[in-house]
Amino acid sequence: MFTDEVAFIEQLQNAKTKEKAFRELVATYKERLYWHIRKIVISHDDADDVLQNTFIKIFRGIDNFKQESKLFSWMYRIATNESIYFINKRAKERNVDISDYQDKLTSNLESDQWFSGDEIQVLLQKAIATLPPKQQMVFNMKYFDELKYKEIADILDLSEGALKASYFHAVKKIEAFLKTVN
Amino acid sequence: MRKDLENMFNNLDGKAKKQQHGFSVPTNYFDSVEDQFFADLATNQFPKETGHQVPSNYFSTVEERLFSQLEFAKKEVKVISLRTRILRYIPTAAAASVLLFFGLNYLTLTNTNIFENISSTEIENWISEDYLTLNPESFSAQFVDADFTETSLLEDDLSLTDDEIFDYLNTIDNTVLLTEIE
Repeated sequence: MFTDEVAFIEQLQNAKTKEKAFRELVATYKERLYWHIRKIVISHDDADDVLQNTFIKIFRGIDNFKQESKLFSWMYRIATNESIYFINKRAKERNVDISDYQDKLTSNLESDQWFSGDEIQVLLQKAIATLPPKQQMVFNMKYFDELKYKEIADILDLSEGALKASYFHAVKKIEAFLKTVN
Repeated sequence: MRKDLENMFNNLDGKAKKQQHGFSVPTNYFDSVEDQFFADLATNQFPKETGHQVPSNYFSTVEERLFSQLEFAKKEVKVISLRTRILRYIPTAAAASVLLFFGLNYLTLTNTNIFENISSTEIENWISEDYLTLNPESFSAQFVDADFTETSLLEDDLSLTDDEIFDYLNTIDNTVLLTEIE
C-alpha cells in the first residue's frame, strides 16, 4: 500500500511520471494479483496471461480512475473480472459448463508441473471448485489472502453481511465435501 | 433491604452495564458471531497453502514482458522530420530557381542582342583603331590547309557580277591602287 495514495495516483495519471509510477505499481502488486488470479484459473500459464492482461487494463484505465474506491480494490476487481472472463471463455470454447471446466482443471492437478501440494491440498482445491464462482472468490480472499470483509466488500461490491454469510456457507460445503471423500 | 436488592439486580442487567461502559458493536454483529466461530473452527482443519508453485525467477520477468507490450508517452524531444525540413526549404529554393532562370535568360538575351546590334562599320572601326590586335599566325592556326583550295575560293564564293566589280573599283581611290601595284 502506498502511504500517500492520492499523490501516487496523480503520478500515474501524469504523462511525464506515468511510466516510473506504473513500474512501481507493478513491482508492488504483481505477486498479490498473480496469486489471486492463480487461485481462480488454477494453471500457471493461464494465470500469467491473465496477469499481463490485468496490468494492461490497469495501465489503460488508470487515467479514468476516479478514486471512488481504493486503488488496490480497483486493481483487484479488474484482476477478478479478467479471471472470470478467462475461465468463462475457456469453458465456452470447450462447450462445457464452467463448473465442469473447473472440475477438469482440478482433476489434473496431480500431473501439473507447477503444483506440489499433498493429497489434502488437492482435495481442498477440488472442494473449492465445486462452489459457485463468487463464493469461491469470497473463500479464497478471506481464507488464503486474509483480506478483511470490508476490503472484500469493496472489491466484489457486496455487503459485509452478505460476505460473512457467503463465507460461512462456503466453509460448510468444503467441510462436507472433505468428509464425503474421506 | 428491599431497595438494596433492587439496586443489585439493576446493576446485573445488561442494559445498565452497557450504559455504564459505553462500548457498542456493529449492526447485526451478534447474528453472525456463531457462524464466524464455527467457520473458523472448521478451517482450522484445512491446509493453509494452496500447493501452487511458480517457475523460479518468474516474478522478475513479469515487468520486462509487460512493458514490452505497453506504449509509454515518448519523451518530448524536438524532432524536425526530414520531410518537414525539405518542405520548409522548397519555397525558397523555388524562388531562387526562378530568379536564376530569369537572370540567366536576361544575360543570354542581352548578350545576343548586343552582339547582333553591332554594325559591321563599328567592327571595322574597332579593328582600325587597334582595339583588336590581329596576329596572322593566330588566324592561320584556325584554318586547316584543307579548308582552303583555289577552287573553293574562286568557285564557291565567287558570285559577283561584272557590274558589281566595276562599281567597287569606282569607289576606290586610284592612288591607293597605284600604290599597291607598285
